[in-house]
Amino acid sequence: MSDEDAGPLPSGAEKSAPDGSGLSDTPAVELRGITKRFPGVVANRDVSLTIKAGEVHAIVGENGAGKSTLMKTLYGMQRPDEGEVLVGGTVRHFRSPGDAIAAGIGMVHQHFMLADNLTVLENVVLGAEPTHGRTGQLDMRGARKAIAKISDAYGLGVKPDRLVEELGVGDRQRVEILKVLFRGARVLILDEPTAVLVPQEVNELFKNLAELRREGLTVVFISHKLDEVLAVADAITVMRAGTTVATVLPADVTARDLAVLMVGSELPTPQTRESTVTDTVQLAGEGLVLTDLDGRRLLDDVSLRVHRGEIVGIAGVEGNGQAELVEAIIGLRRPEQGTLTFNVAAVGAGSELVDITEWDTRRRRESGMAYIPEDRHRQGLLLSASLWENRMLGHQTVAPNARGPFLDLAGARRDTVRILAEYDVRAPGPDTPAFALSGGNQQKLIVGREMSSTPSLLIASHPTRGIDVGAQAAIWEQVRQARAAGLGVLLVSADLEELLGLSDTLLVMLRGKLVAKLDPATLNPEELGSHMMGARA
Amino acid sequence: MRVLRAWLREALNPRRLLLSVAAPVLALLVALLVAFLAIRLNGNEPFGVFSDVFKAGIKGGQIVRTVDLAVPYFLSGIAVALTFRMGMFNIGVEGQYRLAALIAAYVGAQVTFLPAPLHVLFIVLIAAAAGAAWSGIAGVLKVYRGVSEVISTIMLNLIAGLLIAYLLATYFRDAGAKTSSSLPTKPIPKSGLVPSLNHLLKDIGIEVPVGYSVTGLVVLAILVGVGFWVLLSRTRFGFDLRASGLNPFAARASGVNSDAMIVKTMLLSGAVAGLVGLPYLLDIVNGSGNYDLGFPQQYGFTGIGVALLGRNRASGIALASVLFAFLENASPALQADEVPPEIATIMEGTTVLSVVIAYEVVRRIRARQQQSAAAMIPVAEPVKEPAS
Repeated sequence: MSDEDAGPLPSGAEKSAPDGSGLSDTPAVELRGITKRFPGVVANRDVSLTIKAGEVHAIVGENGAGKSTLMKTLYGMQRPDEGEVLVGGTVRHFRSPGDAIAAGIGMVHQHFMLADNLTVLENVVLGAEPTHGRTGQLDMRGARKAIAKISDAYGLGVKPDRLVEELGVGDRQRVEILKVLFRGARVLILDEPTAVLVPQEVNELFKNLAELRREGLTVVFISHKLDEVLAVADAITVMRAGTTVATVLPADVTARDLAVLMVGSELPTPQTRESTVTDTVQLAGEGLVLTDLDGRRLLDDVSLRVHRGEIVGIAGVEGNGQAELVEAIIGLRRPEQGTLTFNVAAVGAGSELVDITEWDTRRRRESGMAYIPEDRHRQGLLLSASLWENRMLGHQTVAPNARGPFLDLAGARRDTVRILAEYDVRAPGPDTPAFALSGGNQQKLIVGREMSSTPSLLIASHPTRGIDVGAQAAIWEQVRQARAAGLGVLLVSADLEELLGLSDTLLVMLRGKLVAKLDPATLNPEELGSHMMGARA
Repeated sequence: MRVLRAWLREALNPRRLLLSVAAPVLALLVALLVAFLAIRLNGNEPFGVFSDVFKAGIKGGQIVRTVDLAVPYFLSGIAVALTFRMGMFNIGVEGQYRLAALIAAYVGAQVTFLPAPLHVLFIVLIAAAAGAAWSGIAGVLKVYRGVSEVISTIMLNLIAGLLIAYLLATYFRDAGAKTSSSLPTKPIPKSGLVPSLNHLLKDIGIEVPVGYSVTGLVVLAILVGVGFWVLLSRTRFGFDLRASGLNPFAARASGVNSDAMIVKTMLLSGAVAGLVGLPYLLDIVNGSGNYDLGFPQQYGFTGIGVALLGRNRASGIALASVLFAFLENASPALQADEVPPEIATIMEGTTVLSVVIAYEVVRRIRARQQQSAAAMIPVAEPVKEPAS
C-alpha cells in the first residue's frame, strides 16, 4: 500500500548538506500534464510546471485560476485525474499529506493551524512528537535542540517557550514555517503568506525566504500581489482558467505585464473619480465604547462621520475593532456609551438626522442602511436556500419582497431575475441554491440586493475578499456608483490598494481607537502600514 | 436566453426527476427489508404477514381508525416541526399536550353557557393557550438564562406529569364521579364536544362502516396544516423563522430579533402541541369527554418521528402521520399471525432512520448537480474597465 520507495524520512534537524541534488539539473518538483476535474468544472487542465531546486518559485493567478487545486495535488490532499507528480526526478503517488511530507514537501496554510494555549515548542512537535526509541517518552529536550538549530540555520528567530497566543501574526507564520521544516520539508509551499501581514512583516518574511533559499530549500510561493512576487521570486508561473499560461523571470516583466497575463486583459484599478463629497452628514458616531466580557475595550471612544457622496475607508490590521464598529453601526451590537445619528431622509431629499442608538437592526435597515458583511457565508446568505430567498434576506419586510405581513414571492423572484442580469450574477436562475454559486457571484448577488432597496448608507466590510478579479472590478464599480449616487459609504478592508483607491477619507483603527485620519491621495502603503502598526500613532 | 435554457435543462433533467422520487422509495424499501428480516428471525413467513397486514389495513373500518389516530400524530408532528424549522427542538410536546388537555377538560367542563360551536372553540383556545404557556417557559429560559430548550423541555415533561397528578388529585377531580380511582375530571357538556364527520361523508357519497366514526377534529388538523404552510411559506414571520433555522447569524444581520423569535416559536409550537390531546378528549363518539389518569400518552414523542419522517413539511407530516397510524393499528393483524406487535415499532423506527439517510444522500447528489449547473454558465469575456 504505502510507498516503500519513499526513501528514509529526512531529518529536519539535519542541516541541508549540499549533496549535489540541490545543484543538479533535476528539478525539485515537476508536475506533468495534471488534470483535475470536479463535477462540472475542470479545476486544472493539463498543467505542467517545473520548479528548480533551490529557487523561490511564485505561482500567481486570480482566485479560481486553479492555484489552490494544483497545490492540493502537490501536497497530497487530492489525487489528480491525469498526469503525474515528480519529486527529485521520481514519480510519486501521494495518497495523503503524510505521503507528501515523507517526500519532503511541506505546506504553510494561509490560515494558521496553531494551538494558542500551547508554546511554540509544543506546537511544532504536535503531531510529529519525537520520542526516545524504546520507552516511547517524549523527547522534548531533543526537540528543543532541533528547533533551535533550524531556527538559527534559517534565521527565523523563534523562541521555543513563548505561548503562541502572545505572538503576532508574523511570528506565528514563522512558527508555521518551522513546523514544516521540523518535519523535514525540502520544498515549502506557502499559500498566500502575505495576505495576513502588514508591509513591515512582509519584508521580514521575504528575508526569511531568502534565508531558506540560501540554505538550499525550494519555496513555492502562491500570491496574487504582483509587486511582492516580482520582489521575491526567482521564477514566476502565471495561471489562468485552470492552466499555466506562462513561466517568466521577474527581470523580464513588469507588474502590468503579469496582470495582463493573469486576467488576459487590462488590469482594473480602484480609482475614484472627482470628488462627490457633500456637507450632508449621513452617519455620525460620537464616543462609541464597546467592551468585551473581560472589560477590554473593543471600541474605545470612537467618533466618525460619513457624509453623503463620501467613501470613508477604515484601515487597520484585522481584529482592531473594525468588525465591532461595523456591527455597532448595523445594530448587531449595542455600545455601552456613545450615540449614533443617522440621516433618514432619502438621498437627495434634504437632511433629517435622527438618534438611532436604541434602534434595532431591522429598523436601521428599513431606514436606509445597506450591509455587505465581512463573511458572506456567515452573515450574508442562507446557503441552502434559493437565490430569490436570499434576495429577500435583510429586506424581507419591504417591497418587492413583501406586501403587508405576507411575502410577495412573485415580486421577489422577478426582482431576483433583474439582479442576476443587472449585476452579472452568473447563475442558472432564481431557484438555484446560493451554495452552488462561486464566491464572486454570491458577492455580486449580495451587492445587488443591498443596492436595490434605495439605501442611503452602504456599509461594505471586506467587499471583495476571496473573489476573483473580474467580480472585484464589478464590485468596485458598484461602490463607486453608490458614491456617485450620493450614498455615504463606510468601507472596511484589508486590501490597501482597494482602500487607497476608493476612499475619500481614510481612518486607521488600532486597538479599538481611530488613531489617524489620512488623505488617500497623498499616502503610500508603507506609510499607512506604519500607522496600522502603531509606529506613528 | 442563456439563463433560461440552463434553467430548462435543469428542470427537465431526468436524473433530477428520478432523484426526487428515489429517496422515499429507497427508504421504504430499506424499512421493509428490515421488517422482513425481523419477521423471518421471529420464525414467520414475511410475505404472508405483509399481505395480511395490508389486507387488514385497507378494510374500511381500519382506514377510519388510521385516520382518527393520524390526527393527533399530525398535530404533534407539526408542533415539533415548527421548532425544527427554526433550528430548535421541542421535545416537550408530550408534557405540553397532556397538561393542556387537562386544563382544557377542566375549564371546558365549567363552562355551560356557550352554544356548541363557541364552546368547542373556547376549549380549543384554552388548550392552545395552556400548551403555549408551558412551552413558553422553555423559550424564556433559553433567552434569559441560555438554557438549551432540549434540556428544559425534557425536564418540563417530567414536571408536567407530576403537576397533572397533583392538580387531578387536589383540585380538578370530579368528586361526584363513580370511578374515582382514575381521578377523572368532570365531563365536558355535549355542547363542547366535536361531532363525527360520518354524516358529512355520507352526503358526499362515502359510507363509513358501522361502528366506526371519522373524528370531526380532522378539520382542526387540516386547518393547522394549512396554517402551518401559509405561515412558513407565505408570511414575513415565516421567512424570519426559516432564516433563523438556516443561518441564525445571517438572520440576525437581516434584522431578525433572535430572542423574540425563540420565544415566539416556542409559544407557537406549544400552542399547536396543546391541541394534540383534543381528538381524544373532544370526539363525541370515541372521545373521553374528560381527563383522567388513563389519558393517552406518547403522542408527543411519536410526533418527533413524524416530523422527521415528514421532512418538516406539512404534506410530508400528513403522509408520515398516516403511515405511523397505519403501522400502529397493524398490531391486531400482526398478533393474528403470531408476530409480536413490536415489529410495527421496528418499522416505524427504521422508516424514520432510512428516510433521514436517504434524503441526505439525495441532497448531496443534488447539491453536486446544482453546483455543476451553476459552473456550466460560461465565464464571460474579461471584464473591461467600466466607463464612468
